[in-house]
Amino acid sequence: MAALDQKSPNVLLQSLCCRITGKSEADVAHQFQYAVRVIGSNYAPTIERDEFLVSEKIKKELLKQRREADAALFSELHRKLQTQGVLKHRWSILYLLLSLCEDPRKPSTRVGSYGSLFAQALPRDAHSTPFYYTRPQSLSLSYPERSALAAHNASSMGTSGISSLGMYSLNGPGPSPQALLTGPQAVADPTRGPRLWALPITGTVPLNSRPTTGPAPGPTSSPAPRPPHRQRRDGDTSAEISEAALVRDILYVFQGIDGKFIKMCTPENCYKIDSKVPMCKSLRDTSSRLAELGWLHNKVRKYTDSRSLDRAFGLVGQSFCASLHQELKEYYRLLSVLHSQLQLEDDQGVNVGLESTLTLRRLLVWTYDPKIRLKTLAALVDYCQGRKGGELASAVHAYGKTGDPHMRALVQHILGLVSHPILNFLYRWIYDGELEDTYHEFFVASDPTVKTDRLWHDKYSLRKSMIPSFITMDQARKVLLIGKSINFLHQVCHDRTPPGKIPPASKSADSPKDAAELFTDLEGAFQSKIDAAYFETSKYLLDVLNKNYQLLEHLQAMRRYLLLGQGDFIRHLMDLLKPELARAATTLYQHNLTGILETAVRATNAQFDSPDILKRLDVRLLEVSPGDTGWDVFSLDYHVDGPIATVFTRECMSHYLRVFNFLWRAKRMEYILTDIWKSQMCNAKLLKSMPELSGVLHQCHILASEMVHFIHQMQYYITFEVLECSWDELWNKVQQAQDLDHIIAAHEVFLDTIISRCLLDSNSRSLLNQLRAVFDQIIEFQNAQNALYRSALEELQLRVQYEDNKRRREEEGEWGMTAEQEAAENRRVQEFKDTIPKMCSQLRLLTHFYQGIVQEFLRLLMTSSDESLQFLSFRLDFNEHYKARDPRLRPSLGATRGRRSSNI
Amino acid sequence: MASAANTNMNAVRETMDVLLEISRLLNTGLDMESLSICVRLCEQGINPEALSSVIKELRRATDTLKASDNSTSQG
Repeated sequence: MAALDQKSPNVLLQSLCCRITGKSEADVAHQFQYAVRVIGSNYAPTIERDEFLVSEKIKKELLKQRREADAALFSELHRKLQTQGVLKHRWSILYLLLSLCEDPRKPSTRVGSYGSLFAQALPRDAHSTPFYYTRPQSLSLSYPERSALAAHNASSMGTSGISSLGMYSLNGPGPSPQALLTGPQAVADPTRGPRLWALPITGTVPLNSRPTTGPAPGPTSSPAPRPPHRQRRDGDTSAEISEAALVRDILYVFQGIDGKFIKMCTPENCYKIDSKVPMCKSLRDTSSRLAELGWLHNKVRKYTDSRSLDRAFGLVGQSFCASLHQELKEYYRLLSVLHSQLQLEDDQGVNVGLESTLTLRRLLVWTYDPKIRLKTLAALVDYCQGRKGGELASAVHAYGKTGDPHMRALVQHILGLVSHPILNFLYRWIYDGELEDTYHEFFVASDPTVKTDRLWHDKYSLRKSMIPSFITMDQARKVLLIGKSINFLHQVCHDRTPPGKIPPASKSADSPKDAAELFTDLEGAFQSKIDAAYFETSKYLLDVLNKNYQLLEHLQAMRRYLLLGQGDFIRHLMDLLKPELARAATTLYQHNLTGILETAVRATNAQFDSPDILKRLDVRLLEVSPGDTGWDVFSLDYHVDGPIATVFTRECMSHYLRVFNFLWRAKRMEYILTDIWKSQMCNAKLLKSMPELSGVLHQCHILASEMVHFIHQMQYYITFEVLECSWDELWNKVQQAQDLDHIIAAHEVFLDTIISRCLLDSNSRSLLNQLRAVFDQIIEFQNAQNALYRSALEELQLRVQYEDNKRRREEEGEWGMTAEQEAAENRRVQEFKDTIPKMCSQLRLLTHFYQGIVQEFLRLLMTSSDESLQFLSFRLDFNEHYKARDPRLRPSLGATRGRRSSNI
Repeated sequence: MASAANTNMNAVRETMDVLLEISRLLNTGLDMESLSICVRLCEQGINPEALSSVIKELRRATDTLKASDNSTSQG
């Protein structure tokens, strides 16, 4: 086989012709000629040199013919073929077989067109050339070289296309040389296939595609080569610099090297032609135009050289440099092609025709595309100066918004490379939660000083300047959240299981090309990828928080204990605590109170709560200031730690404590009023016997019911309009929350609403002061009434005792009383009666103060901007009792109404 | 040395068998000899598309030639 392989292609071709036509060598001369010409031409150099592609095509073809079994058989055979490795060009032979493939069911139609052509062509060529006899020399099958060149072109077009010149030279710069060389025949016969027959018949080939290696190119029928042209041109420029010399110079300048005549002019920062050199103006102009390419090249080169050594420039910057290098490489490839052509010309001397030499003009045309590309690169380099990371990617992306498809493709390619590291960061971040960003290029920043308890809130932040412009703010936030969730799970929840099923393919399939596609196709894949990761991670995090850490249960516990939702428990606690809390604050001991708390828990429905929650419930004593009673400093507390503390932060807890204190105070007022009412009811019958007291008692009753009404309305407002409404809102939001941030936000809104509605924020300080004053009045009233009852009951008891004594003595047969005793009794009764007006006036004073405070409170409520507070004022003064008393309430109400109507 | 050459020959033969089978599957109409010529050409880097068009053309020419022969012999 090896020996056989030495046979030249021509011999093989000839035997093939004989074999197929079934005739002897001499008979197939025409066919052979034709075959040689077709094979020797650069006919269709465009096919893919990819074995896999070809085999796929074959399978498809077989399937099209409904021969599935054969397709499978073919795959088997193909595999066998691959394992043997005898053939070097498997794709080639497979391709040949494929193109010879015929569907057994239908006759091929494609061959027909060739047939007619062939039939036409044969007779004509018969007389033109005795080709057959010159066969061995003339046919130079330089196919491998050419196909290699074609392959290079194909690949370079794929990546950058800067060496588009290669394609020009392969297909010939233009149609003119062939038309000239083939002579009148070609011109006279337009029916010939342009592709097939546009070839020069002779060995004069489109230059550089066919460097004739044979000893003597033996064209017999071709027009003689045309040295005269060349000579004439050379003669013309003998005084000046020849164009060829300039071309050589220019090629150096293209690489940024000074030529003989064209030199870098540093002060003006441009390439200049030595003005002393004699040269015609057009040449001078053309070469300065060409020299621009060198300048652009230098610019790009300088940037990459300076940056690629700078380690702090970061991965994104490095990949930018790499992409620039890649482009420059393509450019160098073009230059090397030009150089080799120049070399070739030198070797062949004047032999090659005028049309195929390198001229400045030709260079101008060929370097047109590369120049535009270099220009874009130079502009990019300018624009990207001093940027790095995501900022750099944004800058590149901004250049992609151009209408020129070539430029867009170029920038897209660079963008793909540049954004690749960013995409890597991003995947590492959203799938593993790891931040490997040594050079601070990614748009998520981490603060290493933050401890784990503030991880969710403070540790990670967005670096706004580094968000590439092709990533929206919304996406960036989601990305931040995903990674944050993962880190939260790892570091705070100590949950190491990977959240959900991360598609493993997505991690591997992020080549630079994908990166560009992903980022440009923002509506589609990228968005869905982020969304998927977002939902997956957030859902997992919420599940963990709810299942392992009972977030929702804790939320409810807050509501029940700190916001007094568990009524029976609170009531019982207050009952138990009352004697303790009445004492001075300094005498309270936390352990006593804790014991009472436990008793209250055990006695009420609270005992059915989970022990985890009850364990966290605790008593807390606020800072004691002089004169405080236990009521002022007592507070319930709820301990939070671990992941839960992310939702219930320290600020949240302090808010809860404030609200608790307010509610506790209001609750206490209710409790006091209940006591007042109880004692009124109990004592009413007893004191009936003292008609002189009825006026005072009546006053007491009136004031007490006024207060009861007020406190009831307040309680109604707090419980239903504030707590229940906000709680319902919070609960709905929490149920629908997609990520932890939603829950935190909803919770904060909830607390804020409660704080402001409970008059605890700074805007309603005056209202709160009035309310506190009302509460104080209630306490004072309690004291006054208690004193009243105490003295009344004392008096009553004395009287009963007196009567008892009188009766006992009468039964014993003595005088009921002595005059002295009676006088004493009467004096005492009189004294008691004298105290009654004092009590009356004290009560009146109290009533007066109380009503003044309430009126002021109402006035403030009316003028407040919050609608629910205005409604509260209507409810408090439903029968316009206070309005009738206080002139200030009337105009303000009118004013409010007027303002309202004007607003509407 | 000889055995190496021998195994090489075997491999070549096997390869040719496989190729012939594929050729048969695809219904190319090439016999063993023309196939081996084609393989050699391809291995030398010939453009397979050009080669295939040549083969088709040659067949077409042969067919027309035969047809004309037939018609002349009949006529």
